[in-house]
Amino acid sequence: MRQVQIMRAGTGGAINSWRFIKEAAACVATAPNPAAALSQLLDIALLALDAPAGAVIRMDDEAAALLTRHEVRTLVAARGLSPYAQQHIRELPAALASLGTLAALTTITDLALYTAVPPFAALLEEGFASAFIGSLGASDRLQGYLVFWHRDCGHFDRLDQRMLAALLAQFSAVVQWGIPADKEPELPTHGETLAPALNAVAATRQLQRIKDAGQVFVAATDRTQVHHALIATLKQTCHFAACAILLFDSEGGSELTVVARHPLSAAFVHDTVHHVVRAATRIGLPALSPEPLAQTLYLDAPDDIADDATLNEPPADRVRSFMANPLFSKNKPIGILGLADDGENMFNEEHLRFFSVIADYAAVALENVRLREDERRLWEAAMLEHQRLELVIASMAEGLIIVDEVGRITHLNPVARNLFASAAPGAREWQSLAHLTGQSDAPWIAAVGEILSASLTGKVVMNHELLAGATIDSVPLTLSVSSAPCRDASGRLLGAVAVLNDITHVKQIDRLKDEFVSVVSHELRTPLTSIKGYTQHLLRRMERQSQAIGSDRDPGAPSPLASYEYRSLSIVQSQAEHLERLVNDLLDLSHLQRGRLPLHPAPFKLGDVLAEVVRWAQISTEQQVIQLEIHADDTTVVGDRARIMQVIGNILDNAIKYSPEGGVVKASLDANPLEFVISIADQGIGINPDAQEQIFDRFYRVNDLISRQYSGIGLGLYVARAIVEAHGGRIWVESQEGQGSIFSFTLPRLPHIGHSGANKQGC
Amino acid sequence: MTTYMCGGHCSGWMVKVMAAQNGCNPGADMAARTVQLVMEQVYLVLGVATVEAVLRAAIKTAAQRYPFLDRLSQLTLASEIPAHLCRYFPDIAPDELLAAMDALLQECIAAVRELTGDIMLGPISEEISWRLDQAKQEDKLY
Repeated sequence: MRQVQIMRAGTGGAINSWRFIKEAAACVATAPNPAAALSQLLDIALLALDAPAGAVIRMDDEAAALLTRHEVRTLVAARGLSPYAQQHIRELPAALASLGTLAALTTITDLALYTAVPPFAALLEEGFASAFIGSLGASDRLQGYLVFWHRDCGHFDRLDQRMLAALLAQFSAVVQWGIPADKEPELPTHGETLAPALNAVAATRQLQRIKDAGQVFVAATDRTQVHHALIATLKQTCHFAACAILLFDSEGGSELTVVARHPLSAAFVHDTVHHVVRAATRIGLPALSPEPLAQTLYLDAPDDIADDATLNEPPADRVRSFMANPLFSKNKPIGILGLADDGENMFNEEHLRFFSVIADYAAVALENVRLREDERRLWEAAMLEHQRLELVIASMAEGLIIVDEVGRITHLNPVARNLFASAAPGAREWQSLAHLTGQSDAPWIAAVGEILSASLTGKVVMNHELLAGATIDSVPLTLSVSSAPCRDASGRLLGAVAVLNDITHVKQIDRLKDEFVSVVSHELRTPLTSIKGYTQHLLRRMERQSQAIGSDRDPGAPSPLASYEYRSLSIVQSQAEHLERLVNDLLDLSHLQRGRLPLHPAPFKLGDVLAEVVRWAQISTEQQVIQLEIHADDTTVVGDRARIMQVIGNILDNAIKYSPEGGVVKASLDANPLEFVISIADQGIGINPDAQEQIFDRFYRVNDLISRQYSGIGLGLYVARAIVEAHGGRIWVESQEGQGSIFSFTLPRLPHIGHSGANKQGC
Repeated sequence: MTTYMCGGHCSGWMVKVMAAQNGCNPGADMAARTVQLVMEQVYLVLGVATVEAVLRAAIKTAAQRYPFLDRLSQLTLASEIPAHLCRYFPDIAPDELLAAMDALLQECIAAVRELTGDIMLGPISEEISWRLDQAKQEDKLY
């Protein structure tokens, strides 16, 4: 029997229903009057039957008259019934009379029969679907009814009928006690007190409720479910109009939710807010202003947990009973849980204890909900970021390949797929690099594989050019591949990423530029040769005339070589040679682009070459002074004399160009056992450190306001480097902005002549 | 004499008992023990976390008038308050210490009232009165 099981489970078998009945009799014996006895019996019976509601009702006026000396009214005692329900069951005797003579114990579980009794129909609205009716009084006189209700239709069928009869006998004995003194009933006495039995049963019930509550809270996945769980659990033990939940987040923000079981007035809500705010302050939570909180609170009134009994009553006007419990997370208060009602003294210590336990459950559940919400937000943000990244990768104009730490392709964007389409049509994600390279004969596919493999060992590859076959306007498909390892925050290798940039069009443009340079420089060279040739011819003629005049010249007369015409022609020749060097640089560039710079090595005196170039340079400039220092006796080298003159000429031209008026340019030649070192130092504008590495690149010019004021096409140093390196030497610059530069290059004493490499970036 | 929530007064015999026990400020010690009793009752119903939260908030509020009460913030349990009273406040005048402890007690009681209404005030009052009676009985024995 359910009832028996509850008792036995709670007390380890020490109490059974029959002992409980005997102790019920004991309480009757100690009650001061019938009304008190009936009330106490009703409490015991409700526990024993596990029924949420019950009532003792007198049958008729005669019974009432017999009991009136003890001031008993029609409804002697009632529990678990709302005022609305109590009003209806006062009419129960008349309604039951219409059913005819009832048995001593009557259980009504048939719903049709149940609703045929009008008061029961009213209780059905409150969720009570079955009833147990015991007839009270002596065998020949029906004096009243003992009625219990339950929400479960079959509940009373499962109870021990003998126990019910024994309970009924106790009630009847009390009712009989109300009869005049000559008919005092024999009431059993018992030495034991009832309190331990009551407490044990109540504790068992409480534990079961707490266990059930825990399961409900654990299952809650959002705030609404937590609210439901709270109300559903708390309403089992006490009556309240509203539950308030005040929560603080980690940033100090607050949120107040009021869950109503009953229509609430604005004043009631206002009172509740004030109570909650005061309670929050008392446990160290941040002080809040009630008025703004009242205007921003969230009001929830779910239908399924509403108090049906009070729905038709006026709204709760103000708070007359309130209790609150802190909500804790990690031993720190995070909010307040409060219960409020408009009735007086609605809560007692037992309610408070249960409420305290439920508040702990609620705090954990709310914290779980908050964590879930944070997790969901983070997940959504991560998904959004992932989608954004996918979009970026798919939209890239370059091909992108990402491999994991074992060389398996994890990402292949559409551009990369297109690039692989002809050479490796089966390329796809989750394929290994080895499989990719194995399915194609194209060398560039293998090269990409090698580059990625190198990055998987930690190497960074920048701008490695690959010819990928297929030609467009005689320029093959060219890719620039850059690859780098991917590491996490701790430095652990996660994989590698390679970017494939199609630079075919860049190469096309370069080729067109080279062709243009070649054509233009050839066209320029022809008239330049004439200018230089005739200028030289005129100069030689003037020199011969000067020699012919010789000693016959009047000592006071100026030398022909000092004449304005001679100086002008010298400048023309010098500038023609300068122009010739520029054109030669352009021609050399086109040779270098084709991978060949022809050299004609032969022994020559490096010191003589340096001196000659310095002399012609001095002639072309009047504003700077060029100093020459030679610190070697024998300056014989093997190399292309003209090319070395070109190198010295290019560097000197730059030194003069960027030197200030009146500046000094120093050219020096030093020697060590292995090589000669030529240095040319100026007092010019200098070169910033970032540009010093690129100064020898073709067409490179320092991109600043000062440098742009000077003419030049950025080829001189590029060609100079190619020539020096072809001779086995090296070239470098030391410079400080605003203080000048020193360009130096070396030539080995022992011959080392080779064709210069044209494209330093090619494969 | 100081009046506490239960209506009892800190009478002369009580002061003698306290003075005999620890030689500290007896009035303040009495108030501290009352705080302890209140918190014990709160603990039985609402648990240790609530006790600590209530006590810390009460110390913080009372310290606005009596800043030296901040020294009690280092304690973790209400039961430690009476034991450490002498150690923490050797430099405070007895009257001021008494007033401060009384203020702390009033804050604790106000917090209990805000949280539980009148539910717990009755049992707390009964418990304190009972303890006072017990102390009185012990005094008679001596």
